Amino acid sequence: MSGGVFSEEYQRTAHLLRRAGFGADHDTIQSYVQMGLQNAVDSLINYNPDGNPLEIVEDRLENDQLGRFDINGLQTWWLNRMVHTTNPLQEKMTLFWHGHFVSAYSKVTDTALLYRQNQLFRRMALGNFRDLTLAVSKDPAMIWYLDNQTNRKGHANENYGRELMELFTLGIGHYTEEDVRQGARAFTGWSFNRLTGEYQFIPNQHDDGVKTYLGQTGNFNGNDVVDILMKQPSCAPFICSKLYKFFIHDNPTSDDIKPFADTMVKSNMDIKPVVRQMLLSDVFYSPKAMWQKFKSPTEFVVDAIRITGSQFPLRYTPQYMQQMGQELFNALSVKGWDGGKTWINTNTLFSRFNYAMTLARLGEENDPLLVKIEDVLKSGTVQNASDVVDYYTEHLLHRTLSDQSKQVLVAYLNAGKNGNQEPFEIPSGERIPYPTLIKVHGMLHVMMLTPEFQIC
Amino acid sequence: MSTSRREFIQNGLTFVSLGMTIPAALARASAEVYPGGASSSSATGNILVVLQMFGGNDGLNTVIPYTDPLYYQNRPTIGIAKSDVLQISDKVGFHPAMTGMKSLYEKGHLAVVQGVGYPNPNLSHFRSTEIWETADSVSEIVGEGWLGRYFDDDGHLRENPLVGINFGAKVPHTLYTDYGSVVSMENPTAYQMQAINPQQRTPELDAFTALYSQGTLANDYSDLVRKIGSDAYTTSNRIQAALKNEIQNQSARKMGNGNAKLSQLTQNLKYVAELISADLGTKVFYISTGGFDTHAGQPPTQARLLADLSESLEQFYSELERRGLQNKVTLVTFSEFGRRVQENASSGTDHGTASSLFVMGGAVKGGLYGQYPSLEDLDMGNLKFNTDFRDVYSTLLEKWLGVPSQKILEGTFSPLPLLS
Repeated sequence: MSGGVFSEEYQRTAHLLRRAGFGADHDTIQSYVQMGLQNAVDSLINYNPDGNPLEIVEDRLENDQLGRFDINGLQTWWLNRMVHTTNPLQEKMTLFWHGHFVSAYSKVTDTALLYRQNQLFRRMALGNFRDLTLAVSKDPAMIWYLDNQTNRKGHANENYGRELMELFTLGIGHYTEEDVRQGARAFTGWSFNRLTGEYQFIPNQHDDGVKTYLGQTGNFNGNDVVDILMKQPSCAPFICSKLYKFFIHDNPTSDDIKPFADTMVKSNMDIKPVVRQMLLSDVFYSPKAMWQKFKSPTEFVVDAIRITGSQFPLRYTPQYMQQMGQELFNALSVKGWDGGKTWINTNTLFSRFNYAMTLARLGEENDPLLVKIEDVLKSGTVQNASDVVDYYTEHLLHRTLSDQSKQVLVAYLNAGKNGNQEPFEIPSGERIPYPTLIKVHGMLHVMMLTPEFQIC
Repeated sequence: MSTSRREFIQNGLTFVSLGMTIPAALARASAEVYPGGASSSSATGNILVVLQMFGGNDGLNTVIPYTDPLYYQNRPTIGIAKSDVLQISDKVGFHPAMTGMKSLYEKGHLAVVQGVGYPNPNLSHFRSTEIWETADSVSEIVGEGWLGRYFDDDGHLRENPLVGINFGAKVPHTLYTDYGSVVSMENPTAYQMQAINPQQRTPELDAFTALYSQGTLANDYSDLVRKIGSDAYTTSNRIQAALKNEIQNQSARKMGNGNAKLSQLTQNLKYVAELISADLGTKVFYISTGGFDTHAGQPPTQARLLADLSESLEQFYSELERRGLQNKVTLVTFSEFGRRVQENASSGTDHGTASSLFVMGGAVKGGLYGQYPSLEDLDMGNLKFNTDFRDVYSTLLEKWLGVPSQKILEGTFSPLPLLS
């Protein structure tokens, strides 16, 4: 095998692109290797927040054409964007906020509002956490999801006030039930207009009495509440812990979190310096982090699509993702996805295996995946089954396989009819014959079944 | 616990720590590895079905204290009129949508446990769910689930991953074990391995079997995938065989007119009945339904959900009766909390505490258990519990599954006399 893929620089860069984005093909990884790690991180972080011209056109189309109840269309739009984005970290952070400030189609049955919330996350992906929390508090999809449009003075509705502290800013144990009730009062009258889909403050529903909230007393409204939350000592560690688990590994200690939380507080709750510090930290490239996370379903499908180049229509992907335990725009609860080991159970693994099958299945004559395989087989770089396995191990997995696993894949290619061994051959000629192609497709499927392919 | 079983557990743990899965479990003729119910070494052949209601069901509008004026004072908008209540005693009655459960109650197959909760109630959905799922309200670290501890203690999961079957794409904490996880299945039709074409099926499955039974690069993450992937593969053939007819019925109903299609809950309970008949050695089935977090516009939402629950339970019970299995199966419901006594300004209710739960089965002694909590003596507007939910768990462990509950529940609780 060539030295490049297994060099330390390549491995670190591929790791960076998997965690800070959705993985990349061999050529893209190589181009980031050329930059050096620090420049690679900075080029991921300092993206053009307006997106590329193609994305602007796609957004315009989505905005114009999306049917109100077309959740599958909305999911497909975002998947397409993740597959093709030139700003992978912006998309990855959008996914982070989407799983943090959850609103779901199961209740918010207006895709236009969910689309706009998603664009809010994208716009503020590496922005300031206070600004984002305030914007989310006025976001119509969120207001709808947590019933704040019916939160009126008198008997306040506690739904938003509770989750704002428990799930969005402080974490459980850092507030009292009385804080929940008082915080809810501050958000009374924060509503939205069903016709325009815009945030709307309704003064006569707002409780402008004095509230005592997290130890402070005053005539607070939602802005004040957000400001008070940002000053709580548990806020920055809570957010940094979630970011740490998202980017680095599943089991940080409070000591692990501290340097990042300090940075967040020092920068007045800016997210960008925290993420930059994480992506440049020693622990990010340590054995504690590398290959020590399960791919989320989103990471699994986007990575698999990008590296196979499969043209399987994206619109069929969301139903598989739902079975894998991560349906975009439709998390099962306001807590979002627990991640870590909860991604893996018998049901979710079958969904991954069978989705990989749809990507690897032999397509039409001009299917790019098929063309790519033909190109590889005709390139002269591969001569036998072992070469084919090595080639795809490098290009698909970006890592080594155990000898046993490699032997299984080689044996698969060499298996003839009736279980006899039959050397895998690449005939010369204009077209590679079907039985040879189908073997390589099958081998790609089996490679995506490996335990190694479930990990990032 | 027999010596051989303890040895087996020891070996099982060693296996896992070496990053090896059980190769025998991947034998092609997996059906012979677990001889179904015959391999069961549990104390009883009884089966438990747990039905979780996500979101915090409003107990006050489910089992309604229709003679208490405080109920109507606190709920001027969403209170259910006495004339609409399905009365089951001179004090309480069911929500009008619960006609099926009323009928089960009258036949003596349904127990209603009132005032269920726990000390220092937590009003977070997620923390309270964890407390119910782990039966542990103290630990910060969330460990095994209460039924996970039952599996571990009983040693069954190592012998047969089908000892617990969850319906859903996410395994509930209740079934977490130190060893691994039970079978989880959202849609039985998709619960099988697909190959890229029929000719490649055997070679692909051979390759999969080989990959998952031998060492991959040593890593806890890939080891876990190998273990769960092996379980998925070995269990799928048995589940497909057991559900063949019901999967056909289900797709026929899907193709047919709208009326024939069943709710997810009803359909899943049909699968459960089929799997119980097939006797795969399953001790626990876990089903969930959601949408009970009714902060706003509660009446129509809760009516729809309770109607579904009630119809599903009634159909499940008659399905069991038809198969002569009703005395082998007990079903218990739970929700993470009840809701605030006083309604809010959104025709809804906020998070609360104590509530009622239901236990159904042929062996259940129907009737009312526990006390209905006072609507006068409240804690910050919430009901005070009088029956610890772990009393219900100890009932199910001791009197139904036939195992001591003290170790599993980490404490001594009092079983209720609701099983014969």
